[in-house]
Amino acid sequence: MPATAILDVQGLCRRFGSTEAVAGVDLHMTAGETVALLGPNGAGKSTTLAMILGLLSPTAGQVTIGGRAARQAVASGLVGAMLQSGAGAGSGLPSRTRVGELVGFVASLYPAPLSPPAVLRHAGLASLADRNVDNLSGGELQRVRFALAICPDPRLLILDEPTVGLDVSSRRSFWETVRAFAAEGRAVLFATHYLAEAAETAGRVVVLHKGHVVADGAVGEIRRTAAIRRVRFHAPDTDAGALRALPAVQRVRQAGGEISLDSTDADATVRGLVLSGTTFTDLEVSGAALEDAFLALTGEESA
Amino acid sequence: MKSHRCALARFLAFELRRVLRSPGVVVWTLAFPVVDYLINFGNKANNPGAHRWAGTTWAVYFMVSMCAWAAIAAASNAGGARLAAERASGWTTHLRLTPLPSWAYAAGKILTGAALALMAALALSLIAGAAARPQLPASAWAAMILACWLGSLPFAALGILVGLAAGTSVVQPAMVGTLLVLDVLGGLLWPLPVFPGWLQDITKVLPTYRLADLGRAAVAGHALNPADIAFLAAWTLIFGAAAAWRYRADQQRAIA
Repeated sequence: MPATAILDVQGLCRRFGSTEAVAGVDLHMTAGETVALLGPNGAGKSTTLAMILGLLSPTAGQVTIGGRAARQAVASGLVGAMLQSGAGAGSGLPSRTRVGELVGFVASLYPAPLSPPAVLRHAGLASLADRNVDNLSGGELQRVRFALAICPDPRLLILDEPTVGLDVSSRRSFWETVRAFAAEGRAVLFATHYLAEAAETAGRVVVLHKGHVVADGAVGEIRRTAAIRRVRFHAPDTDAGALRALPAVQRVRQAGGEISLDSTDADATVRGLVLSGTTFTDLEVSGAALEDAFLALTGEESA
Repeated sequence: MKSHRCALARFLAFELRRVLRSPGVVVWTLAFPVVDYLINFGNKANNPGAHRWAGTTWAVYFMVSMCAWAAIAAASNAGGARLAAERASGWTTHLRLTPLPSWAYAAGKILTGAALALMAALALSLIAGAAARPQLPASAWAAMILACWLGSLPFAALGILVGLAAGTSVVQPAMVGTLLVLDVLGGLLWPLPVFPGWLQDITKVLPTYRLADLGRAAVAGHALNPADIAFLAAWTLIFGAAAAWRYRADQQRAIA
């Protein structure tokens, strides 16, 4: 591809004691690309991102960001990041400081930062500049952490599960902010286990499982790799077990009168359902659930 | 290099603004020693007539103790609970994603402690001076403040060590407990002569005692004791090396 590489990760490994947290990850990103790193807890997403940022030294493999080693790329402001905030302990932000003051301080550390007013505007914080960070809501804290990540005017933005613990509307507005920032030609790499987020925001999805990349492709390709559709209908008097024999059905779930079939070919399943003479109402075929695609890819049994 | 020095200056300014907004700092580093001094400087039990304390009066002797206390509490505050909280919340990690070098981070924390210690020593000696009016030449005042200030360096390193080593739930008691033991055994709350001989031997090893001894030599107009300086430097190195070791271990811990 002629496009410039912004990130090149080769054979990245990290071992903690006897656990191989990351076991040979390759990842290539071109300038302006948005990539989701998708995987369950413990897949090695955070460890991978920490090594990309030079926070953690790899056991093997190498990371190049815009042609530089990780630490140099960080120091020169090529890359900005929003890591997971500590478990319960707080916001990832220092106490007793104001939003504008904090952004001004962090921006001042970089060689060619965005101006603090521009950072606040991008992050939707212009009206909160004088607020103390100790008195912010979860969604506002998230915006401040995003603001700190974009201070260096980065070519590559890294977000590690950025919307954990946010309500739906904060989450939606957060991703709108990220998309607007990415639209300026910046590359974004984010880790998530919210599968819808990966589908909505990323152009490409890299699925990580037990430290390995198990799939890497456009959202549509990932879906096709394990094209699971969900056929749902109301049929209180039906023996759900018998439906397992319908064409393309992978799994049957029953809750009250509601039956849900996971199918690799929804058309065939519905045809089979009609031909079987089952009495049903409220038939619904839901669009490819990336969650199920993901479970199929990683071979995990869902609850 | 120039930009790094600027980064250090900005970090220091940022840290000082934050720490001065913290009510705990004012209470623990200033209110306690000031009140304790005001209650006890005229204490008759400790001031039997012409009895001289290490070559000076009780009012001056105790002022040095409380000045040392204030400087120690202030210096250690740069680390301690604040550092543990910043570590747990991820702020320390975020700073590692900026060009701020780790030596500038450490230097900024230590200098914040040093600046607080200087403010605390100045404030305490001003209030003590106004209350007790001990007859002291200005040079002795200045020498005592300087001694307390520089002598607080090992405690800045200790604060950072405890902040790095202890989790957020135990750091506060760990810090207060460690300092209290050092303060009491170091003879800051009660004068050394009331301790039994074997305890005095322990006391003389402690940085708290050495810091106060340095301050007392300063107010008495004696030459500074090289042993005091050697002990304080050794404690700074010990705490500093342990902190550096903890810092490195902390950076390579498992990331979930």
